[in-house]
Amino acid sequence: MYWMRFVILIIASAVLQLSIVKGLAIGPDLVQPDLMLILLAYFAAHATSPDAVVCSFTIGLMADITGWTLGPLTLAFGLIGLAISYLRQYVMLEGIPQRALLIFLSGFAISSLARGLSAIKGVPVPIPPASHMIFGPLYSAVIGPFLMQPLEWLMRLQDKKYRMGLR
Amino acid sequence: MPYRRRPRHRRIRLGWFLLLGAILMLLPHTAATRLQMAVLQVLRVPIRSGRWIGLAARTSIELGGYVPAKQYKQLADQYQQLLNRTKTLEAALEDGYKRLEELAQIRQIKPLQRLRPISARIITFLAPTQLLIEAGKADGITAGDLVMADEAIIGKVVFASAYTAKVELLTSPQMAMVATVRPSNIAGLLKGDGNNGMVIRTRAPCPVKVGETVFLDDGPGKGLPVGTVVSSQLDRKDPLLWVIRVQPGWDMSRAKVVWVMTTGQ
Repeated sequence: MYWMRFVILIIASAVLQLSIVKGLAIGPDLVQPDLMLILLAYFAAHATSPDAVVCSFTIGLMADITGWTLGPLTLAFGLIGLAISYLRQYVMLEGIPQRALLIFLSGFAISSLARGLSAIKGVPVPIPPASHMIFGPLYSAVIGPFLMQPLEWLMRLQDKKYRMGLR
Repeated sequence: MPYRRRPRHRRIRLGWFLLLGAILMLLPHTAATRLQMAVLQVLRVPIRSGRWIGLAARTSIELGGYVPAKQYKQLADQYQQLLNRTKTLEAALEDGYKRLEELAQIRQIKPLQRLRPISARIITFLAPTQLLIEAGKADGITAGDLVMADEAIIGKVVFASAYTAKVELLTSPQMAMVATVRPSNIAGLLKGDGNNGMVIRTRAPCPVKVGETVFLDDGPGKGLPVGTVVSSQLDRKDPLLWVIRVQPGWDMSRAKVVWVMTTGQ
């Protein structure tokens, strides 16, 4: 795993999420794609299980930093990333429709879990439920599969050396 | 050189990360917000640049795409012209509001309620104590009309042509009006000294003190303040007289518009 690339990638994604992606917002609720969710789907589906855990929690932490409070998204991203890394042993996650479905379902699960954890923490979520749980993940699912190929060029997680644990 | 396998302890890592998540969950919201702000402060430059790009992209989408450079330049010129015109109109509007406000204040002055105020721009100073204003007989102005600025009587119209009028300020030596100093209640003839000041000469001794106010006691402007006493002393040339020097209650260096109080309907 190219960890330095990973760190730069998530910082760059956080910056993009807070800046350029805001320009892609649509609808009255300003629904926007979630780059962190797309990164999570990619790393959880293609990294080895131990790396997937690290990546999921780290992406969750970055999502928390750019989110409304610290904690809920770290746990939600970590746990859902872990679930995806288990799931991929039984389900094929190649191809655009599968990837889109993966992004949508993981987005729905993460937002539901994060809202629950946020309620436990006692911090209100400033995003309307429909855009947070349905339209946001849907938007991410539409553009996410097309971003996964450039991610693969950058991170090379499907490389043989990496799969064998040699890199 | 053979590759070295790294040990991977997934459960231990998972445990550590869950612990980190739990700690973050227990972190108070205010502390979390401070931490978020600190990180965002570090990344503020790229975020700001990116937002600008995002906004520009969004604007071009709303405009319906790109326009040719020539058309863009034309539009930019038109926009600049409109902007300049808007600024001019805004300035005129503000000026209008200011005049309205002054007019409302004049309307509240009882002795002037029967008179019709006409605003007139100052064209120039003919002498230190003479003004030429941009209103004349065509506007209903006649010689003898009182002229106001800064809510004080500043002089009289001495000559009116069709579209301009000459105003003699109270500071002119040719002007003389009956005035009263209050609260000492001493009346006398107020005359200009020709040097941005006015003088009242009365019999010595006189109880007037510095700081008292001088009011007109003559014509339609009766009861209106004209200035403040700045000195009150015995006349050096004639020991039988007392000289009261009055500083005008207006500042003509700042005034651009005056009000002529006409008697016509």
